Amino acid sequence: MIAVKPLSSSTALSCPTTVTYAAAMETAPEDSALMLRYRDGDADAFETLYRRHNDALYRYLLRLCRHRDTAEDLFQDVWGKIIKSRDRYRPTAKFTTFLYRVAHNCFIDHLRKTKRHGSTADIDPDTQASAATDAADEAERQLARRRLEAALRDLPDEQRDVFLLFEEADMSLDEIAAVTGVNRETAKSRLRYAVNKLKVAIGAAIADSVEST
Amino acid sequence: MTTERNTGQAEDVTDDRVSEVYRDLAGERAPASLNERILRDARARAGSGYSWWMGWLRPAAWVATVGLCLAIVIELTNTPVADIEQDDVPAARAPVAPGVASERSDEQLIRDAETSHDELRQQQPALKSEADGVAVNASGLATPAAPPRDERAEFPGRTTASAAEPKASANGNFFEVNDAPILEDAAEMAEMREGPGQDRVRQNALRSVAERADVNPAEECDDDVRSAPESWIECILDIERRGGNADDERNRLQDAFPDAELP
Repeated sequence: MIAVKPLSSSTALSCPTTVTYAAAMETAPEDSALMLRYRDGDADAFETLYRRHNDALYRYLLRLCRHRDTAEDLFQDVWGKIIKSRDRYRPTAKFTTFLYRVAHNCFIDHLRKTKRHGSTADIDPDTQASAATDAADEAERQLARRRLEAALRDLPDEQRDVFLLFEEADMSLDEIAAVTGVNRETAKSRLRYAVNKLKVAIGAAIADSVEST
Repeated sequence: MTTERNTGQAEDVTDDRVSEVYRDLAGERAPASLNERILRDARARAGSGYSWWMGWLRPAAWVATVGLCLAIVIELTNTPVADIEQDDVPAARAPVAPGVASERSDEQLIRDAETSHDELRQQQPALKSEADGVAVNASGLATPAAPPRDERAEFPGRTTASAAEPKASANGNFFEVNDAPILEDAAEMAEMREGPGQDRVRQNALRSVAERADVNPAEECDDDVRSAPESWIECILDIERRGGNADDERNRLQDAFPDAELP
């Protein structure tokens, strides 16, 4: 079951000190500093912040909801809440933790409202596929993407949520635990289960590709 | 292959192949229309709501409150004490039980009484002798002339007209008290010294004046009588018939009606 956390960003978080990709995103100027500047009326700071996180958040919601229109609605809802709550924003945690906690809660709220756990996805993974030079490689990649997409879709919501937070938001286990409202071991367990299932799906795709070759 | 990404906390959990395929899969970008809508909304709200000066609202409110309190304290501290005591005098003169008046009110009352007493002595020293003369006149030893009415009007110790001119009813006649200002001031001083509720002292003093005035017929004529020479002459004759001195009234009659025939 996915836990629901309040939207407040004042919760003290034990963030790691050496975050590779996230640290790169937080440098000069930091997300929190940009948010504070926006709170003080600097719209350009918000645009910088938005451009930094919008695509990852969009993909996170898209994979999580498995429905494009719903993902866009939630995406707009999340940023609307960020904008409205700028006066109450306190940089007690990383901005990404704050942002994805809002997104996570919006998704949980959406689930409660629509009861659409079993809704079908309308995402076409091939629309955004990169070009492949080799036909065999391209066939293998496409098969792997389809298998991964199907396996990701079949993951339980909790495992998919953890996996997407790890991949899209580049969060540590502690941050994932903070966003999802579970302890670190639970988050780690969920991530392990998700990765194993996806790895099996990709392995099967690779085996199928080898066999067909 | 399992990798250690994100500070090593996720070791033995993630898989490079899975991440690579996912990165290849997840190339979606947020729609431009959505980006534009959100950024427009953010810009519209950037100017409203919180601004830099709002952070100073709470400190400013505290400073204003403290300043107001200080101003009130300073204003109360700089208020002259005399003004406050002057406001307290009427309250001190209000009738209360003897011995209840505060110490400061007693001191103030005694000070006022002594001041008025000194002024009385300095400005009208002869008034006492006249009062003594009135007493002597009442006993029949002498008949001093009553002080002119105008002089008594200028007497500084007088406070109220009704108290300055007490008229006692004795034997059906009204008598004008000549030394009323002195007695009135004496009664007032007694009231001040001994506190409120001492009206009995005042009444006794006035009663003694009335008793003395009872045997001392009025030697002045009323203003109504003075309005006509005939009635005025009749009044003068009446004074003289009672054994009083009507010279002053004669002089006044001459001044007012020089053509009147003096008796």
